[in-house]
Formats: sequence, C-alpha cells, structure tokens
Amino acid sequence: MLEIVEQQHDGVCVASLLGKLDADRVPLFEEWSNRRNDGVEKRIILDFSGLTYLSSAGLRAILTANRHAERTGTALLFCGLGGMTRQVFQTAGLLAYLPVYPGVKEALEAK
Amino acid sequence: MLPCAIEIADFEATRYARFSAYAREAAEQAGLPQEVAERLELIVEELVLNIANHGYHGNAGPVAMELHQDGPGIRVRLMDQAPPFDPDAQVSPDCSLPLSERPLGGLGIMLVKGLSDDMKYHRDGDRNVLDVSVRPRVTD
Repeated sequence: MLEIVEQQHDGVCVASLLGKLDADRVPLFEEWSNRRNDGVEKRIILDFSGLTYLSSAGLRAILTANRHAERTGTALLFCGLGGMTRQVFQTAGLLAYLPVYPGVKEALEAK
Repeated sequence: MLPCAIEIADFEATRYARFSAYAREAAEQAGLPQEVAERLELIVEELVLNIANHGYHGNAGPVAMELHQDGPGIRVRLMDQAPPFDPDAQVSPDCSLPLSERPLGGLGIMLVKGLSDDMKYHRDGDRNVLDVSVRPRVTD
C-alpha cells in the first residue's frame, strides 16, 4: 500500500509517503503529483521516512514529478531517506543532484 | 525452505509481485538478513518487469524463478524465452548529466547492478538464464 499524508508546517506543504512506491503504486503517486505540482505551492517537502520500498518505477515517477515541478515553479525538497530508499537514490546517482535533507526540520530551514 | 521455485507460463507485467513478494518471503523464511530480503525483492521486481516489458514487449510469456541459499546470501535464477538479453552488458545512464537531461530509461538495470553482488548470464537454447547473487552488506 501507499499513502500520501499532507501537513502544513509554517505555511510549507510537507507530504509524507507511507508504505511502498513500486510499479503498482506509481499511478497513485502520479495522481497526487499532477494535482499538487500546480505552481500554487512554492515549495513541497517530500518526507520519505515512512517509505519502506522504492523501485525504479517509483524513481522514474519522482524524477518526472521533479521535472514537472521545475516547469511550474514549485521546488521539491526531499528528506527522511533511510535504508533501502537511500541506497536506491545513491545507486541511481541522485543524491548529489536533488535537494536532499536529513529530516523535515532541516528541509524547512533550507533557504 | 530453500531451494524453492516458481513458474508462470503466461507471465505479464501486472503480476510482477507474484515473483518479487515470493522471493522476499522465501529469503525472510530462510532467516536471511532483512536488507538482503529487501534488495532481493527490488532486484526481482526490476528483472521480471524488464522481461515482461522489453523481452516479451508487453505480451504474456513464460518466466521461471529458482532461489538457492548461497552461503550467507541468496542466489536467484530467472529464466525466460524472450530474445537474448544480457542485463550485465547494458550501459548504465550517464550520472554526470544534469537531471533534466538524464534519460529515464535504464534505471531498473542500473539498480539491479548496484544492489546485487554478482551477476552471470548465459543463453541455454531458446532461454535466457540469469543468475544473480545477493549477499549481506555492511550498510554505510
């Protein structure tokens, strides 16, 4: 299962991904990202600390969402990567290219 | 529990979890570390989706999987009857490119290469046979 739970922190949208982002759950993420990445939010923090599994299908959906966000003027910030999700980001060579922060607190403080 | 095997004669991409969940459960029941079971699940998802989408071009086809204990790790053998394809010979996407210019294809095989510990491919008659080993790692 995958659940995306949104909360507002100091006027910034924090979206927590809970569960698995594999090929089966990509449509759910895409639906959320297409609806949310509309340029209204200046910044969205994606919290991965509740994500237990991420495959290349999920990764492609994240990269597509990131490209879309860049076009609409929304900044996507990533945090809470651990275990498998960190390994997947690292193996795909993404850690140095995406704004990745340890936790929500650090992402909120980012300039 | 190990060795064990599963075979689907008319495998299609939507049923990938039959293989990936099976592999993970078998690894867990064999008492292998959680991180080995997690990497194995991901590797199997990537490889069987690749067979269905690229090997069989979205059509149904036979896929078989065997799991063997391999010292402290596990070895998975995947067999299909798609045209010859050696994942290990594929060139990974250029990670020095900025994200906006990076191709979105090839990520699955890149993950398989990076998260597995050994990979051997051979063609046996009309079958692709791929052996992938996953061994415990010290996580950094």
